[in-house]
Amino acid sequence: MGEFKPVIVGFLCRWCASAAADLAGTSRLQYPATIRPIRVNCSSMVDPAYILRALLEGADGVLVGACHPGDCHYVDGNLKERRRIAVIKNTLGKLGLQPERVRFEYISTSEGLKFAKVAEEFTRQIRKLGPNPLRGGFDD
Amino acid sequence: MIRAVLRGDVHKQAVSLLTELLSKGLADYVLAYRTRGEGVEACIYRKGDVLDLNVFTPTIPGLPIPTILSWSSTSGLKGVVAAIVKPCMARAIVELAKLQQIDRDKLIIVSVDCIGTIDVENYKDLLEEGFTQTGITEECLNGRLEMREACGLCTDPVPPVFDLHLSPYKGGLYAYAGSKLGNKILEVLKAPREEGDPYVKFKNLISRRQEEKQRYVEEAKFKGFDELQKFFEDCIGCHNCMEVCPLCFCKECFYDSPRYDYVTRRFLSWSPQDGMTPLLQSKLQFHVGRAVHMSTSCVECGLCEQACPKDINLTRLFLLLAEANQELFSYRAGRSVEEEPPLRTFHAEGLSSFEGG
Amino acid sequence: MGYGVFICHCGQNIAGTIDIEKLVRKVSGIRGVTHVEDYIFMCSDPGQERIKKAIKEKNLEGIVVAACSPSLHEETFRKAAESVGLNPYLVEIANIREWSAWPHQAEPEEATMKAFKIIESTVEKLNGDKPLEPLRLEVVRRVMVIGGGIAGIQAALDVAEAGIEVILVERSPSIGGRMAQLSETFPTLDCPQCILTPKMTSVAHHPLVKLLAYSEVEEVSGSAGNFKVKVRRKPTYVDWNKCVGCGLCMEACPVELPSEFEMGLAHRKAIYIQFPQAVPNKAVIDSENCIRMKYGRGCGLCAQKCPANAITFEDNGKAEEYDVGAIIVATGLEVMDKANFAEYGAGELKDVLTGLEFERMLAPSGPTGGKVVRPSDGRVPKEVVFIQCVGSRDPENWNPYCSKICCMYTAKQALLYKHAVPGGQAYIFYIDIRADGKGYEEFIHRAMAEEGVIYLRGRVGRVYQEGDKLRVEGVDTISGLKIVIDADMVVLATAAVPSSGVEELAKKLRIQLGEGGWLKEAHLKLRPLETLTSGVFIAGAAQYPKDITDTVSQASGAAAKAVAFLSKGYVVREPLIAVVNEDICSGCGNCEEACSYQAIKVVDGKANVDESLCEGCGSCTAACPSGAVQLKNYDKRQIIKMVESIVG
Repeated sequence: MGEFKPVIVGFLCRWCASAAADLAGTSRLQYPATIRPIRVNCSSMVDPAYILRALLEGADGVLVGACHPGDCHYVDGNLKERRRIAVIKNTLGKLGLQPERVRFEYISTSEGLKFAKVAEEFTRQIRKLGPNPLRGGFDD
Repeated sequence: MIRAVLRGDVHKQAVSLLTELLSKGLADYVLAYRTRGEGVEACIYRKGDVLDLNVFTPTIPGLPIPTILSWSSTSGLKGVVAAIVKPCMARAIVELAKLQQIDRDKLIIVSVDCIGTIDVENYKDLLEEGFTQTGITEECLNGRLEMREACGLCTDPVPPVFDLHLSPYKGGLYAYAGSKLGNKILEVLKAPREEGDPYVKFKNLISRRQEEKQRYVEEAKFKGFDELQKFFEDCIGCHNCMEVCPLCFCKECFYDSPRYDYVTRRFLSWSPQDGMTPLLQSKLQFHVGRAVHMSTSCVECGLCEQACPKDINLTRLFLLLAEANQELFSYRAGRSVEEEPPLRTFHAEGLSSFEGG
Repeated sequence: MGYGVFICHCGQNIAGTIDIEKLVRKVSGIRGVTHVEDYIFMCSDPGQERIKKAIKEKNLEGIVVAACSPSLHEETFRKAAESVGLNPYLVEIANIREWSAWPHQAEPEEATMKAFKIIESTVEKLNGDKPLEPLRLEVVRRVMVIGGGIAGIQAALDVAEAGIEVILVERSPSIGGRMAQLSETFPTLDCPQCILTPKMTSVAHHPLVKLLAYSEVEEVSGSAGNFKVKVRRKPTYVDWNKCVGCGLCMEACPVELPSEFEMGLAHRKAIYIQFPQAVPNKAVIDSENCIRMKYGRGCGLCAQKCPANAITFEDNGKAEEYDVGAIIVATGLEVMDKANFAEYGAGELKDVLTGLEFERMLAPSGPTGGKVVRPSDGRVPKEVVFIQCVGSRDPENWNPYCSKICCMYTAKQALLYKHAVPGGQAYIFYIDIRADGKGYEEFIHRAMAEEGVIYLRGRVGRVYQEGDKLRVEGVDTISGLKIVIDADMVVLATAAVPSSGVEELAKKLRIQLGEGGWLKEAHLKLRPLETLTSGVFIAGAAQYPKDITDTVSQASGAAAKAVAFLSKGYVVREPLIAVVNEDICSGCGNCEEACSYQAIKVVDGKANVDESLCEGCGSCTAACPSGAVQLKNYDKRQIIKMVESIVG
């Protein structure tokens, strides 16, 4: 085991956060290679089951990137998702499972910088938390 | 609230009221528990049947009445069912009605006073020992018999929603009307009527339990992963907790299905020295995942714990999560037919504390 | 057999950071992958040829192209695959350039690992993908235009001229909109009635236009090409088939109310025709104020006078439903109420007017017959102060944006005032003068040099009554001097704001509002006439304040867009939509509540997807507790497998 390299699963809405990640790349903004992105059609399709599964698989963090309120391509999917995030985070919190490992962010298409910043800040936060205790000693 | 005063023996009065519901055509079926030598079972009665039921059974057996109702509703049973239920089950019915699993229009919710029930296993033993039903209830109240943990923390001896509520008093039985339908029934029954409040006699009990529950829920919070791991150590993955849950209406639980299975081959790709860890993972995915789905509708009946063959303290888990996740939306399961379940409806309200880092 | 993975170097863009050789080696080890190939530019013709060749020769069942963002070349590679017989929905893009090579240039090893993980999870997705066919839906060749101002009129005429039916909906009794209220138009000083009225008439009489005046959109369902719009025809209480617009009823009516059209500077009756040139030229009863309507009896003077027996007092409102293929929103603007501005008298000083009120005063057909007089005492004002940017360009208090039309109309009004009151003096307080239109700069010059309008650069702090004058206290920021003018009249160029009710309309149409409540375009630069809801277009000031020139051009543009959209006869929709497994569905209806498009409904205890409405957001899939609703080629199993592989 060397230095702790967090693994963060990023569920990115194709209309905003995913495009912001594109922009961050195009702008050559440098951020840690911790976020492993999965593009989704809308944040509202991110079933808490996926978040739970990511954590159980050993991800150290989960990021859900949504459009800003009022900007959702599908009217209000982002706010619907916020309800689900609230329940899963609340549940994790009560079970002592570090809800800070789940992060819900509004990142618009034009916010490449915000995407990079979130990646950086979240990585720092996860480093501080340490490896996910659910991670079953897996080491590649 | 209007109540009918039915003087005389409580049991006889209850049975004659239900018989009248059938004979006057107000209900086509009565769904209730009856006690037989070998235990308690649910039974459906029609007009003309002998109503050998127990209205105030101080236990809830494995198959909850709301679940039976959801089957009959969705399988297209014709006619009106009068269901005799404890307050927690009345609340579950309200939730299932909102989730379109029970047809509220074809149902008479007949709830009964309940200060608590005992584990169904113990109930059988007690009957063998010669206890009567009322005897058991009394012993529970004065603390000589242990009621189920969930019952001891229950703040609904009378449910918030019902059509008729049956409440014994010294000289007989009160039947309260909690809805228009209830009022109509009382009119048809022609018993003497008066104003009354079914909740008032439980005022002290409710406020005492509210405090106890608050304390309990605060202490129930898990301190960390290790504690949770220990909590589920004995879980054998039988999923009885889900089978018995009155709120789990899915035909196939997502967390128990091939769509979400925890592939055990991955067990091998993880380091073997971690031994049971992947198994714990599969327990967690099931319990936490399911809790995310149903905790906002959980009525805190504690039947999950009663059904658990390993006596895992699921009451703690679900009371904790139900209180926390319902409070998030100022929601309370079973409180009203109008309140939409939090994960079903959507309002652009402030949950901003869950945004960002 | 198996899957192919094609790794693009993108010159040095990817290969400069990512260890391609190592990546190829690792990717070759992914289960199911039988062919891995890398090339300097996969998107180039030779690159595409390599892909096609491999698909054919290796008989690949699906491919992953590891390259740039799917927003760039997904189409390219799908088409290439399709040309050799591979279903395009079995082509997946792994974005290793924007998501890995570029942002992790300093960590090549990590970037390579991440690229591998992205590819691996994409292969997992491909593993669950099924071949799909695009949905092709017939369109209804009919356009609805909402709003009967100059934008709506122009758009309706253009669409109709293209041979397509138009339903023109206007909520007022007459079309004409703001333009009908204007005195003269800058920079040509045309009489707007002279140029607008013929258009109003021709749109109303066009054989392909159905005009629904005094009507509002109540409900919109369906989707691009097949909208169903419920329109509420508001009750007029007058039989319009009989009404000839003679106006005798108005003479007879004893109830006087402030006229909306005259901005409250004149009265109208409880039965009224909106303005003399109204189209349709028909009367309506304001039922809230009509004596007969209020009390159910009495009065009825109008009905006695009506030569056509048109006045029925009967609620003749109704709802009508129209099938349309496209919708053009042309709801326009209004101006802020002067009562908002306490510093300028909060609407209590009678001689402080908004630009639109002053416009009515200048209009020859207006309440004063074109005479400029003070509302307070009827005197002719000798000095008039115009204040620009009232509520605009004021981010601290009101709107941050520029209302765009005020510089020009204020100059015009000052100039017309000078014509109306020779020897009068006009002052204009401004921040900057924005005159960016053909002949606009010259027009400003004309106002300044030829007409002697005095321009003062600065804001006005306060306007208050001083005897029978209005004392205007401001600062000239050029000279730095405090300026006090005792004026007879003050005209406020209050900010343009979106028309009331546009928010609800936007909700019904499922289109978005941006800053300030203006309709949001699909792309400010490149798709300014479209919304993000396919089949819904924007014309005129509903998008942002515009003068007539821009409004008319945009209206024609929106019309052309709508016509082009319908001309093919069908729309093609992505088949990546929700699908229900009926064996598992319990019919709880959570999906129904989660859907913003009414695309999924529980019928007989089972959820049912309307393919023409589903937009494929997947919200229903997360709402479904049992996983009975799934998104095609994005089902839960696929995503979970993606999660597994991307983490592991």
